Amino acid sequence: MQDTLQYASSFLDFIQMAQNFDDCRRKWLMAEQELGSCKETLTKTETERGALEVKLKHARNQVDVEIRRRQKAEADCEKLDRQIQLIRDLLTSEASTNSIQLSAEQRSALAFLNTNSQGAANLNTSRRLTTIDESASILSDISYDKTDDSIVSTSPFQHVVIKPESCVPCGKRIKFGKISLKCRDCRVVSHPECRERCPLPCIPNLGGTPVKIGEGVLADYVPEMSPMIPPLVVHCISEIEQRGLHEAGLYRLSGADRTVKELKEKFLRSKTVPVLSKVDDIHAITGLLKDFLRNLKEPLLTFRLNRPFMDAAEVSDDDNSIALIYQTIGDLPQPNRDTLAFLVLHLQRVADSLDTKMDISNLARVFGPTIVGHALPNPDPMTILQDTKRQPKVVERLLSLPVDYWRQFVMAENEQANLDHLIIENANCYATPERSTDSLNFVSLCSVCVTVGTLVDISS
Amino acid sequence: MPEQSNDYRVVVFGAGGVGKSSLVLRFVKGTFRDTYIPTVEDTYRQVISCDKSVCTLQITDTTGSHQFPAMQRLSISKGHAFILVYSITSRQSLEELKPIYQQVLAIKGSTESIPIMLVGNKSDEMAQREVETKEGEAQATAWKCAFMETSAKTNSNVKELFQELLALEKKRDMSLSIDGKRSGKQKRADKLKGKCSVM
Repeated sequence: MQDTLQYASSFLDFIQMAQNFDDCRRKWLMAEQELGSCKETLTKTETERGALEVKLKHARNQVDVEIRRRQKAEADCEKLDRQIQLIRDLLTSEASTNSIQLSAEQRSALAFLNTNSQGAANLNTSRRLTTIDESASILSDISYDKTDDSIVSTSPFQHVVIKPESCVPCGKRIKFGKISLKCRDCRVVSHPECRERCPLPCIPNLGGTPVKIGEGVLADYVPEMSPMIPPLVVHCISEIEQRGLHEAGLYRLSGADRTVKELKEKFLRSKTVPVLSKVDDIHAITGLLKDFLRNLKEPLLTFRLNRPFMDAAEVSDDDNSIALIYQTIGDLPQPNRDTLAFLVLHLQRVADSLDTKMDISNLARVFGPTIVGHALPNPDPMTILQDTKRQPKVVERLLSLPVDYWRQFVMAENEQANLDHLIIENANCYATPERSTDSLNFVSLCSVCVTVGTLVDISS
Repeated sequence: MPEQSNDYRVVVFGAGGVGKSSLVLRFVKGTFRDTYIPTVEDTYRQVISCDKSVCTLQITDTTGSHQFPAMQRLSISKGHAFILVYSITSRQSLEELKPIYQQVLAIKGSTESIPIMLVGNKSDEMAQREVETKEGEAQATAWKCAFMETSAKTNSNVKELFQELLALEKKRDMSLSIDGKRSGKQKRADKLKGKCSVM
């Protein structure tokens, strides 16, 4: 009885076990089937991925092609721009020397050259910036290697030489086929080895100022960004300092009137930079600077602040006087203040050079009428006489302020401008020559581009 | 144009650094300074005798950098006689006298009756000479004025320069205010301390 019972229970156990086995096997089977389908989807997706990769490759290739096309188009555009510019330069500068006579109608017909290219240039930069933005975002999405990208275009623009040019720092001719450098902004042309001696800071040349000579105020001649100094002032001062400040009577003696007039005309009329290093007489260059400042419609220290400056300079207590002078300088418009700072820094160096025999009080006598002037456009003779005695004191005070004070106006804003400048304009900045010899230590703004002079047959 | 006064105004013109102040100071004070200071504008007075009469010789030393055309015009219209100074060591300084002469001519109408002296200063610096004496003379002939080479440094021809200038006045224009006043006043010449006495 017990045996039968035992048998029965073990039989039941056995059945249970067999059922468990069966369950297990079924699960197995299911798992295997699942695996099969998974493998299938895997291969499917793999082929899909392959297809997508091919597409991606195509897309990349297309992007590459587009980038290359854009580069080429931009280079072409730039080249054409430059040609237009050169033609305009040629026409305007030649017209002044009478070898090509342009009638008034022709001039007005050609006026579009000026406006067009300016507009085109603006358009170009803005358009280009947006495209760069887009491409950058697309590229980052597909983790494209950014170093391959052409955000920094390294292709030097071709500077087509259709008339011989001279190196601004050394004054010698640049021969055809030789490598020359031309700054995009200030239009200074130089030999590669003279790059260090280019006038600084680099001030974009406005070219063909629409103001008549002697009819503009300072603001008409300055660029829109800091430091707001007229290119003419920068070039004159740079050239004068380059000659070493050894000439006795610098700024006191005057150069030939005719030379001064010619240089001024060239500077303000044509877009090219006259080569001051070719001017033998240093007094013609100092004359040019003085003439420019003197013939501004409003003196450098402005009509409005003429009396405040004179009154401040005459306060008998030195500290109070200087404090008032500081205050009045603070009231100057930015172009006037920047230009004054640049000029004063230069004159302080002139005064430091004993060879010139021009100490601060001598320079003050010469520059009093030039930069202080009068409070009115047409003062009567008595006022002129009285003011003339008071002007030098103002300049003397200005020249005795510390170098660091003046430097801040030219320096701090300088660096800022430099950055802006690099982002927007300068793709080809190979070097920012630091002016170690110069006590100013400007960070260079001069974006110099390698250009190869090639002779172009205009007739073709 | 010149005021009716006892003053006789001489205006000294010339480029910067030719020695206008040195000439005037040599004449007025008898000294020479080797300093280097540009002039804004200085006026010196000196009592002189003119034909037994007294008058004040007023010498205006102008700035070399002809910066203020308005002031230059004023000086010219008030001046009775003019000394145009260049440096024999600088051709440019002679060139710069040309517009000044034209200005005098334009304001005075004619230079016939106006005493003008063309002066080549620094005649001691022979080694640096750029303008020959002949050229100075030729320019003076063209301008119908008198000519002299001077040296303020060595005191050569300085007194003579002023003497001759005043002599020119006597010769050419007797109707100037000096003459009128002189006849009225008749002062004694021995009261005078002036260095320059004109016969």
